[in-house]
Amino acid sequence: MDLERRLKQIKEFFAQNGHKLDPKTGQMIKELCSLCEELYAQASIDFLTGLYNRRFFEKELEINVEKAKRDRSVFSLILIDLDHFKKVNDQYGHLVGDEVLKKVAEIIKKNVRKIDVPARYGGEEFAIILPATGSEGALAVARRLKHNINEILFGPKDNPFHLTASMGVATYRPLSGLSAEEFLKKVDKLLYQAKEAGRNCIITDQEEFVLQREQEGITYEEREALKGVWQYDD
Amino acid sequence: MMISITSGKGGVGKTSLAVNLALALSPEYKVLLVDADLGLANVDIMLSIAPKVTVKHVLLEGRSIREAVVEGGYGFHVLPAASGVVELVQPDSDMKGALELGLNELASSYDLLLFDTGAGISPAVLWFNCLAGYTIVVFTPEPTSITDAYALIKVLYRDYGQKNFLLVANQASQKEGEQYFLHLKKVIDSYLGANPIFLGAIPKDPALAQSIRSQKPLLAYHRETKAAKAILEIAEKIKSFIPVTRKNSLLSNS
Ligand SMILES: Nc1ncnc2c1ncn2[C@@H]1O[C@H](COP(=O)(O)OP(=O)(O)OP(=O)(O)O)[C@@H](O)[C@H]1O
Ligand SMILES: [Mg+2]
Repeated sequence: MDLERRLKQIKEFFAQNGHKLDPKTGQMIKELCSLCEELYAQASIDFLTGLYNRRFFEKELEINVEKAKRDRSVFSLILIDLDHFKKVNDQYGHLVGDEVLKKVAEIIKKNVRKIDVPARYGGEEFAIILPATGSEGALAVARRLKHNINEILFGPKDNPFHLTASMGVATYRPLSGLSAEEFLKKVDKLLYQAKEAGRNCIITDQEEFVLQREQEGITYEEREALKGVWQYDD
Repeated sequence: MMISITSGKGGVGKTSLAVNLALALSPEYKVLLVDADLGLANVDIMLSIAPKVTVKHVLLEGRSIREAVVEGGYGFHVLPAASGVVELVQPDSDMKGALELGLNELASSYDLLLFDTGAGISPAVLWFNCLAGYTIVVFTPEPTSITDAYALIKVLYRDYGQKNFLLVANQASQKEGEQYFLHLKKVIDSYLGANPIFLGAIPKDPALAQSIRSQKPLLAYHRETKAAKAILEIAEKIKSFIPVTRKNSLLSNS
């Protein structure tokens, strides 16, 4: 992000001061800027789908974990894997496979907010970071995505097909103390469970979460501190 | 813009506040009062309305959410809930998904959606509270009500990402309410790190209890009583949280 801003600053600087250089050098520097921009785009965007790429996603995930720890806030992560995608490639060819990935990316883009981070995480695997979103909100998004993916017709007009998706959904809670990597592993496990459960379903960490909340409740210290609220002296 | 009205303990005055706030804000804003206690409706009773289509028909029978919206009779609109429908007490993910879409759609034609939720930390209550941008927590000056308010704030803040808490002390004088708030704020701040805002206190007022028995909002006919004045002041404070961008829709729609 900062790189982008810096590039913009440099370009603006050149727009104002470029004329002081000899034309050839100016031209080269301009070209250098364009190359940098291109490289930057390559570094964070997945070219096929226009979603963020894995590298960018992993960085964002770390930032979100740090932020959650600092602000004591939560965020959610959805991992999506298209079911039997290999078959599509085998039966219809890679071009159709690519079209499918693009269409799914469009569905994802349409269903997330500006603050969310939708990424292509692997071949047919997608990941979405949902900042400031709890388990219910994340589940609603996952349900909507799954529904939309199920609805749409993919492939050639004369021989179209439907696809399903499996998803793992979890909410990061700073109290868990998990690192970004550990959290990702946890959600990946949920996704794996969804595959194991026969695909075309969403597995969440909710049961675990309810348990955790019940265990934590109000602590002894908090209870004692609250007494001060109704036992104060004027 | 969505604001929820909630409490840890039941019966502390959420619905009375919700109905009167909707009334107080409606001359200036386009307000939809949502009865968010989906299976045990309150708002329709307080307003003495008998809606034919409720959220039950929307969630269980596929009617559109706009069909369920009715006039509240005092300048604002109401999305009524059902009475005694068990399936709605803990709506499943599909219902919540549908409801979220519907409410978001409605939010685009109102300045303010006010949720009158049930009490406690049941998943449905928490869900409505995290959908809202601000959560008004009503408490009364009793140990149980205060402890439950704190527990609710803790769960919402820590597990549901709700950061914006507006507190109302009911059945308390201004001075008393403020004292309670300051002490409670200290605990909330040091154990949770949240920063709640005090909206004001509503004194115990027989006129408020009477208004509920007569099924008419207090502000509709007794604006001079202590409780009415307190609620008007709270409404005044809430205005600062409502974005002004949609004011025009009021003029064009009414
Ligand atoms: N300031 C007040 N002065 C006098 N009576 C009050 C006041 N506030 C609330 N009450 C009484 O408390 C009762 C409960 O109020 P209300 O129904 O608004 O609470 P609630 O929080 O919505 O309850 P529930 O949790 O059951 O939905 C009312 O019937 C009313 O008589
Ligand atoms: Mg009520």
